[in-house]
Amino acid sequence: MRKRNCRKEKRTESFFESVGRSFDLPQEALSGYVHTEISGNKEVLVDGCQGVLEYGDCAIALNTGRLTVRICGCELTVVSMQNGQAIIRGIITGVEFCN
Amino acid sequence: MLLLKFIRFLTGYVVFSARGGFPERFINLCRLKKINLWELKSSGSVIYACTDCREYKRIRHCARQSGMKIRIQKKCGLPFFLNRHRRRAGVLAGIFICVAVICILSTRIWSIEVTGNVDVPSEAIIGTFEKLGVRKGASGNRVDVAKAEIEALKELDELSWVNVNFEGSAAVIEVREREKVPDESDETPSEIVAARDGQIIVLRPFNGTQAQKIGNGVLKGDLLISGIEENKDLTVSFCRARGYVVACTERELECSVNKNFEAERKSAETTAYIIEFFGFEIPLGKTGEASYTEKTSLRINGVTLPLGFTKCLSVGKEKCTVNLESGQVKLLAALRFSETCAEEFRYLKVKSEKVSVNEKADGITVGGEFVCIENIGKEVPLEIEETE
Repeated sequence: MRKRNCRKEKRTESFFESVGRSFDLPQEALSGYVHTEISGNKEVLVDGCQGVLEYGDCAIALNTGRLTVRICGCELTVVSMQNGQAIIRGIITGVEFCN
Repeated sequence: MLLLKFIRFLTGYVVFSARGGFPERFINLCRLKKINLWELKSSGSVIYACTDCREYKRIRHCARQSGMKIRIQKKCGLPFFLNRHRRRAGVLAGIFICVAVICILSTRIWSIEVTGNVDVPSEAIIGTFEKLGVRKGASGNRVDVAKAEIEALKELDELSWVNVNFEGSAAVIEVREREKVPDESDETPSEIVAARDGQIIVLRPFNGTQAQKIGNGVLKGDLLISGIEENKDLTVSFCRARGYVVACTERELECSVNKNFEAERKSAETTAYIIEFFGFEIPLGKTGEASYTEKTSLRINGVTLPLGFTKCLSVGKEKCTVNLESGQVKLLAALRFSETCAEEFRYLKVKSEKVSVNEKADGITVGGEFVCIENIGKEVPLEIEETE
């Protein structure tokens, strides 16, 4: 039963992805992926943030629905977190994406 | 971002610290309750953040739920500043006066500048516009610029175009002067006669009949170019004689200086200042009848401020007798003689000169005989009598 659900989800994903690709639309518009912008190693903008999973000195993990975005670095500051958009500033050493 | 910071400053915000408990849960609860947090930093087990002063009260509930203890670190913004200084009436009055002064002064004309004028003095143009309302201290919005421009053009005939622009608090009057066209239409019959005695060197009649020849000696008043032209049918017609007649003339100049003479001596000098603010004059001390005034306006970064001062210098004079030594008399005589020569020979050429110095007991006389080359032609109207 679970296997069937997974297959169904995979099929819908591929459908939206293929529609988006054929119309040259951004991937996050239809498939529900998170939109991430990285400016050098100083700033990361995550659009589609649904919550904070981890908050510490060296790492901030954000829940974006399907993915978890983990930003590692030091002197990390959440400049703003409004309307599902989080801007994180600091000295960024890595950005990880986990399912 | 700057605008956002300014708005936050106006509305006021709180910097707080939260320790213990679960910071992630605290942040998520704030997000769910739509409490705006910014500048979120973590330092060890403490997090620091900023929020609006209204929303700080709502944060307590979230902190309790997430097991965190919150404490205000700093209160920033205008409401807190005003609250802190509410008992200092002077500060509040000062801020109010400062804002009011800025609001009032920014609408006023601070200075008036004139550009584009060559012959017409700036003072005359500014004086005319001051009568029409464009003056220092006047409200720029209330001035009817179009009407002032038209009225100024009517009053100042020398100007062909005028425009008033407001550059910040300065009124810039741009003008164009009317080009003078020589009046060629005046064809009143006239003739050219000799203004001095001399011998003609060059004779160029442009209009009229030549009455003399080159090399002729003429006396003052002799006819040089006649305004009467003889036609082929032996009738005559009158015209305006034009041309120039250069002649070799003789001139004599003399300059005498006495050893003893009456003069005025500077006795006392008093300086007074007048502060000028938006056209209002505040005298500091007795100004009286100043023999010399100097106006200075304050300028910062090229902007003329409505504040300035006038320095009035009054010089007292008393009569005295001057006794000069022989050398001083010679020097003074030479100086006066050279000044007279410079004035006399401004528009003519000196061919040769003979200068003599005659010393007397009471002074000195410097004399000079000059042979000059100059235009001696002088236009005089032709007197015509009609006979029946």
